[in-house]
Amino acid sequence: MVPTEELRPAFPSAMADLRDIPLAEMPALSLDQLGRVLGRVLPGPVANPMPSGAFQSSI
Amino acid sequence: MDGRVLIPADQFVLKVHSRCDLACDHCYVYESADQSWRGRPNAIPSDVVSHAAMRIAEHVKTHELSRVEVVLHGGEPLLVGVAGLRAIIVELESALSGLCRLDIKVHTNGVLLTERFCELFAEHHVGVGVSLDGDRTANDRHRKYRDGRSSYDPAVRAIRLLASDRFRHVYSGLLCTIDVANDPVRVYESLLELEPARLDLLLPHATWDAPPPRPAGTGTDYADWLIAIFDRWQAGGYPVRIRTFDSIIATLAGGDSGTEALGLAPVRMAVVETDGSYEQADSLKVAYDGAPATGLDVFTHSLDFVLEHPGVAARQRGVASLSATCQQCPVVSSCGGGMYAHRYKAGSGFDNASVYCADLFKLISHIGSRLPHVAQATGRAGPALSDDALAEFATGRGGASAVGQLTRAQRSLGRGLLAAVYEAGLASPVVGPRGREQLRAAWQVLAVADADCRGALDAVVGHPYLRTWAARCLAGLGFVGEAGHDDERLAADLGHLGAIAAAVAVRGRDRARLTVPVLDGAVHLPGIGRLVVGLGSPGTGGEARAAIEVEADWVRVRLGAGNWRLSRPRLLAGEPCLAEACTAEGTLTVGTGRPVAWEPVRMLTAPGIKVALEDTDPYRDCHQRPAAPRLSDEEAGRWQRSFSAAWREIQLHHAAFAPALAAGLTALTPLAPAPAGSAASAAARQGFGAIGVALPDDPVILALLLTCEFQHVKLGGVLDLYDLFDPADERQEELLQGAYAQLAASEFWRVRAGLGDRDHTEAAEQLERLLAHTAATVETLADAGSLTSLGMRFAERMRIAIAPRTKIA
Repeated sequence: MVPTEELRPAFPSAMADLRDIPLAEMPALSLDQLGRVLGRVLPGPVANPMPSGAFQSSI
Repeated sequence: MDGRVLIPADQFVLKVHSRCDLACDHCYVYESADQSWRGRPNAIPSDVVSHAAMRIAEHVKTHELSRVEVVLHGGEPLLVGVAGLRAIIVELESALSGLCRLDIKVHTNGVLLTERFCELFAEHHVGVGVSLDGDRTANDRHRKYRDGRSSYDPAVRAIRLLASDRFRHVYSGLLCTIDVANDPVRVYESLLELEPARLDLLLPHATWDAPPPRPAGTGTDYADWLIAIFDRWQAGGYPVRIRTFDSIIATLAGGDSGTEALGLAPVRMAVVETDGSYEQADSLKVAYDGAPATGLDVFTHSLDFVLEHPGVAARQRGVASLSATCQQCPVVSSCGGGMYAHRYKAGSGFDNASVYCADLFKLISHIGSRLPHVAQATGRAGPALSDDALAEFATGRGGASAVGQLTRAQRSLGRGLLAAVYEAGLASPVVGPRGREQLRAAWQVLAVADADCRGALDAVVGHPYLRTWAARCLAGLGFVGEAGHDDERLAADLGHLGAIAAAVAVRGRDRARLTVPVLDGAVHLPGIGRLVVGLGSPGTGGEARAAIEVEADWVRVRLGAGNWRLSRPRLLAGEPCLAEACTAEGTLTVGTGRPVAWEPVRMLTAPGIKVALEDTDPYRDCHQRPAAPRLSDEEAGRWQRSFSAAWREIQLHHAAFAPALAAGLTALTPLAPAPAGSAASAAARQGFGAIGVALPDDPVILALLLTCEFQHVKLGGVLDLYDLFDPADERQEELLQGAYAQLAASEFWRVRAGLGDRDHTEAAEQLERLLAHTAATVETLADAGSLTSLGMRFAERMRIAIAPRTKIA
């Protein structure tokens, strides 16, 4: 077995843990939000993301 | 600049007309403190458009932006006319062509929106947002023509036009300014009826000097109003995206807000007025006359000057720019002090909490309490591997426990993918009202199964080709409406969520009714099998959807005039099963109807391992060679014999690899035969747990292929969790995958060479060649400079692992 000390917590996973979110609650996460979670593992666009802090005014 | 790094803008509000055809008494443009509109040209002149486009292009090049959004705004932008808007859109497209992706949106009151405008927006993929304050009563409270007439009917007519099949893909959503005198649920439901993809519920612009009306006197009128809608929204299963709620949920989960009204994300927006002057946020018009002004313009200043303006810089400093009250607030990361303009008070300027502070605190706290799992789960670190597992994988090995951790991570991913496809399907213009209803029915079955029979859901979510399907759907949605894209097939792909739900129901629920697409001439139950009906695939005409009813003992399938029933226990046992023709009421009929055949997913078994022989799944064709068609029973028998012999070889001579294979190999997919004399096998990054193989004659070769391909499966799982190299360097994954598979191949041939039997010479030669190649590849990886620090350590362990293998076992 190769020593593991150097692989310790300095390397957290970039993927969010969705196992404990009830499926019924999952759509509370917008597609933008899911896209940020899943985007690293999927080719192509997951959604047309809304720019962060985007303009928001009615006329 | 004060030493800070300039944060580029990626959203530009282009005021294309400074007047409006309505006279809404709550309009922040005309009824607020700032009256700068009076001195500006009505319509934006062409030289302002061309300079604005040039400045945006210049900004894109300077900061190497990959995407920008331009919002055509006013006043009322449609007053420019179809030809005028076309010229503006073409100018923007031309300036940014080849530089970055450009998304154009238009915000309108809708009353002038005609088919001609819609055709223009459809032609140029311009998203359209329409302002509407709710039902007729709510809307007519403020949104009127100058002579007092209601704007409701023309606005709703325009929205229905946008919601039609022809234009739905450019219908971005509705913007509603809140008036707490209106009934919140009635407002919400009247807007929902108009089928927007997104709703914006906007706090009316106000300051401490001009506070919003609070007729209820609770001090949190606006929170109470929004909470009533949130509760309805949640009870209804989140049927539409609501930006305020989405932003609060995203920030509670540690992400960025999607609106300038919430969160700590730096402002990345600039406004260009019709005279070419740059302004700060539009909402600042409510603060004082001249508040949005920068003194800069498109003719003489680049956009970098705007971003260096003190007023803009103040909104790019996150929590440091907030008042002392805000900095100590527990919800500051979600609230972000609210909209900048809403903090204004004469004397202290913007160094205050929002005039909506109490409302925002109450609303954010309420949402956090109603979604505890979302806030907790997405805010914490993901399903990382244990130290031991990561170290084992780095040596090229990895036992059952390590592979189990990858499998659990894939389950997490699978759940997210299900939700993403569900939401994307609901939002997709290629899915009509009936399709959306079917998606909701499928989701309901999945959500209930998640609570009642998690094992059934996990079994289906764990199927390798669920991810292939999801990736196909989500990638396809990026090209909706593009020439050459098959919208009919995409709609069928999205509808496959019903088939996934049906498979879950068959495995775990008492009853369910679902609609599923007919794909490749069959009705599919993923992981269980398919009912071959021969007709109705997308693009072939005929009925493309079938109804599935799951009962205690039977699974009934209805397609057009045909009805069949299948024994549920036999389906679950994977046994051959007769599809019995029956009437709609379930009475058996003999000798009538279309001949159909049930094709179960067969299982390959050997001591300690059970693997699906996957030759039915419609999304299995994701390997480098084409998937083979359904195997005959005779061919399946040959696979079983070869698999048994290959597994004996692995257990006997390559036992170190057996536990991982037994734990993580879930499907073998027959591929089209390889050219004579060569072996063909593949593992797809999007198909964790599956290996595609063209069955070789020699079981030893099959054992080698399984061992090596499973290396790709393992490494793909690791790469889903960790960045081992710079994602921009596409060669790295190929190199790393190649070297990683060679680790197993060299080990395999080292053992074979040590056996001293007939293939000793060949094995020794193979070993020598592979070791040299693997070592060279690892060196190349290490020298390439694009490995992350973890990637470097991973490669180093691979190098160490190679060294002892120079000795023949």
